[in-house]
Amino acid sequence: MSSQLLASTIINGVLNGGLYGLLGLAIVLVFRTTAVANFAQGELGMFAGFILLMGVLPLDLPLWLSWLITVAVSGVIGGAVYLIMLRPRPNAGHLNMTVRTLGFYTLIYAVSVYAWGALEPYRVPTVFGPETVPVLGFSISYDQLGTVGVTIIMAAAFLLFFRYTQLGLAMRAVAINPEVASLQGINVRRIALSVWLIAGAIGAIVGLLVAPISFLETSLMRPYILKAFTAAIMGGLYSFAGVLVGGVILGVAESFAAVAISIHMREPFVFMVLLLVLLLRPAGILGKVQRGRV
Amino acid sequence: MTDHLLEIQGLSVQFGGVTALSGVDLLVRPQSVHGLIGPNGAGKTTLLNCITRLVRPTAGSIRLAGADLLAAPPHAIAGMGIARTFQNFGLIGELSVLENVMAGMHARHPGGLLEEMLLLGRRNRHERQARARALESLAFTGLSDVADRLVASLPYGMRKAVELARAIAIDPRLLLLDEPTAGLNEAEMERLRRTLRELQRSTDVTILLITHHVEFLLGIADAVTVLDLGRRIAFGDPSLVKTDPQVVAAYIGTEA
Amino acid sequence: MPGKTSGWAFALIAVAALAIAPLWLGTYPRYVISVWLIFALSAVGLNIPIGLASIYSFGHGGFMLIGAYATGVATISWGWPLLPAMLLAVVIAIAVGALIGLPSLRLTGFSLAIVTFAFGYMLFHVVKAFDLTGGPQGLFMPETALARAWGGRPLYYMVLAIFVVGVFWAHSIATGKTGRALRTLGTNEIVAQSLGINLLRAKMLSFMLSGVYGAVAGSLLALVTTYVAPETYTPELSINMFAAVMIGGSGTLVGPILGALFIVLIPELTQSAQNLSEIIYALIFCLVATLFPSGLLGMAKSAIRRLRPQPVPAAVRE
Repeated sequence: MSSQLLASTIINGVLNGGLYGLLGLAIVLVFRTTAVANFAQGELGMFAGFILLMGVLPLDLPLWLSWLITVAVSGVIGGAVYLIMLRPRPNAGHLNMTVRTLGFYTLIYAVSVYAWGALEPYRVPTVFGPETVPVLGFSISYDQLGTVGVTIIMAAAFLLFFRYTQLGLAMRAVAINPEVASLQGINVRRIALSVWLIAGAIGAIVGLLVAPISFLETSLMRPYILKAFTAAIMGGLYSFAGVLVGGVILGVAESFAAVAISIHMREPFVFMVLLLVLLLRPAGILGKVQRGRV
Repeated sequence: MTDHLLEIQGLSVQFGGVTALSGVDLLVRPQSVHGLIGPNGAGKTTLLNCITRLVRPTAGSIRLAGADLLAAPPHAIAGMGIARTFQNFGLIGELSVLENVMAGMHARHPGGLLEEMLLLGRRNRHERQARARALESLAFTGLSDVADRLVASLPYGMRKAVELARAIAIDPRLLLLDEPTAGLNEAEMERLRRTLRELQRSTDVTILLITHHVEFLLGIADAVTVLDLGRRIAFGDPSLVKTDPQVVAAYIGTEA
Repeated sequence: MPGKTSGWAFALIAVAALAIAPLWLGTYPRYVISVWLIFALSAVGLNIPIGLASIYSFGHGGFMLIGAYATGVATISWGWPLLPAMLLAVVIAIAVGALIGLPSLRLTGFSLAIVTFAFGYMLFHVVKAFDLTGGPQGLFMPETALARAWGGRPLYYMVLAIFVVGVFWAHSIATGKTGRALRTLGTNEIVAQSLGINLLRAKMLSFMLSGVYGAVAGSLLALVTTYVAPETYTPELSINMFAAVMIGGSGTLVGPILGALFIVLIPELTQSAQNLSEIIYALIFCLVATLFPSGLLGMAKSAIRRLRPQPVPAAVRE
């Protein structure tokens, strides 16, 4: 393997892996605070791509502003999903709640296919510009650099948010034990709503990072959701840093599998990585076995 | 030669750095009722959990009629004739009382998947036998009237009785009862006492029970073992509870 | 569970109706009913881990894929007769089910659910990659004698017969020793162990059983649709199967059959709405999941209770 190929394989892997990790963060956040496995997490990102393309870009605003508006709108959609689909009949059990996110996944996909067609590619402009910069003898596009940059900024913001802000700390309290948090005067429902807002926004950010690199189409995020779940599990469904590291490991591993074995083996390889992690480190790559929380 | 059904020697359990049991001995005579008492956190439930192999001891031995229990996997314990009740119910709310008791007879119920798919005659015969035995057990505990009710719909005291019915349905040699008196009123407790006495009279069961209720204990136990902070501080006649100052301090003192 | 006698009477009438109907039904309705029965069979099997043992399996489409492709490859490429081909499908499904069940003791429900999801996802990509399985195009099944004779009715009756046997077995299992054991471990694993239930064995068994149902259903689907395409066995199929069990009413016998009717019939019925059909399906899916957590069966029961004012059964689930 030439050093050129090696480097581009690693960069591709890190790039995708960061996105898996970011999406995984949203999944862990929702899971820890509301015990729901959000299967619609990826589709929120796909939908955001179309919101940008169909709704916001025609307004002819600066691109960065369109971006922010889209992220905000997607956050509102996330909140609306919580209010409309998860708030009613709250005693129904976590499995039923997960089924509701499956319902939303089906719905958002059906609506998108209806409006924009299945497998019809759209080009989405990038905020980072089309240029490339030479680094160590090969070129990296601004897109790739920007994606990695945004991922790092988001991850840092995430970690700081949970360490230092009141809302972030309240979310952590709910994640550890909702009943105790509730007794301490934390409004668990409001926390859940905020969590879904954030999940919608993160979904949009990932979607908007992915869309310019590949073409935007209705099944854009399908390959991402499983990998985001896998990253979440690699983080032990608990550690935010673990999710990000897990995502990057997964991204690099599958990138190498595609080059070294076969492009067809890229997707099945994810399953191998997942199984390996779960068998060797059931509590996640950075995790200790958690006792007590059943 | 042993004249004890259950022999526990030098049993120690550690959770992380915390010592839950340290060097506990417990000897239970066949066909006796043995009380296991002590303040909260003394390690009583942990000891039961060791016997049923839910907790792995760090040291010590547990023998049932000479057989090494620690060599058996957890799911083999019921088959060796040990049944237990739990402090916080282990019942299936969405099934009927009868079905719960039948579920409890797993270890004594012959058959399985093969019969359920191919040997329906045998399956149905075994189901009928299990049902009959479960109904006997329900009659014994005074629950015949509610056999078809869903467990989730029963009041607290009755659910405790269902747990007992489920445990005795496998006709155990050793019956472990974890706080069977908790939350019961006087009448229910008296009924429980009579049920256990009757059980003792009609079978050769041995009972190891945890209770906080002194009068109940004195009314039924043949011997007691007292635990405090994971250690055995006394054993012998039930009257210890009232006479031994150390036991009184540890046990009654924390009973507020 | 239905009351004893009335339940059996209802089942008998339903089977009789399904047996007589094709005598005068046209090809298309027969096809739709066949597909429903196949999905229902699959859902009844999936209900074993989900409804009884509370193990969340999101990879059931993978078992259906195994059934369809094993049957397809064995009959087309190797020239096997149909029955050995189906048997091969079942054997593979049992082995794979055991394999998936193997790590089930070490994993939490969430992780296990993702493993099953990943399993279906992996198979979908694997069959697309190999020539043996027809690559992205898939396999065209040869027309069997079952489909040629008497307007294809023999194939319909074969589907119906397998469906009836499958449902009967599921009932026998669910109401017998195995079913009680699975329900116990689904409620409380610690108690289950104390009662003498071998957790690993029981969990593996539930995957293996659901695998057999899925594989047989996939095998029949290949015969009825005469085409084995990777696009049929996407991860979405797993999700739809899961939804069928939950929407119909998990843990019951009739629920998954109803749920399968839902996922097969709604898209067929709304075809006239052309492109809107997917949206209508999804909307109903969302509505049922949100408003009727216990599924269509629970919904029907509460409706009947409201229509017939009678002493309310002392207990309603939770």
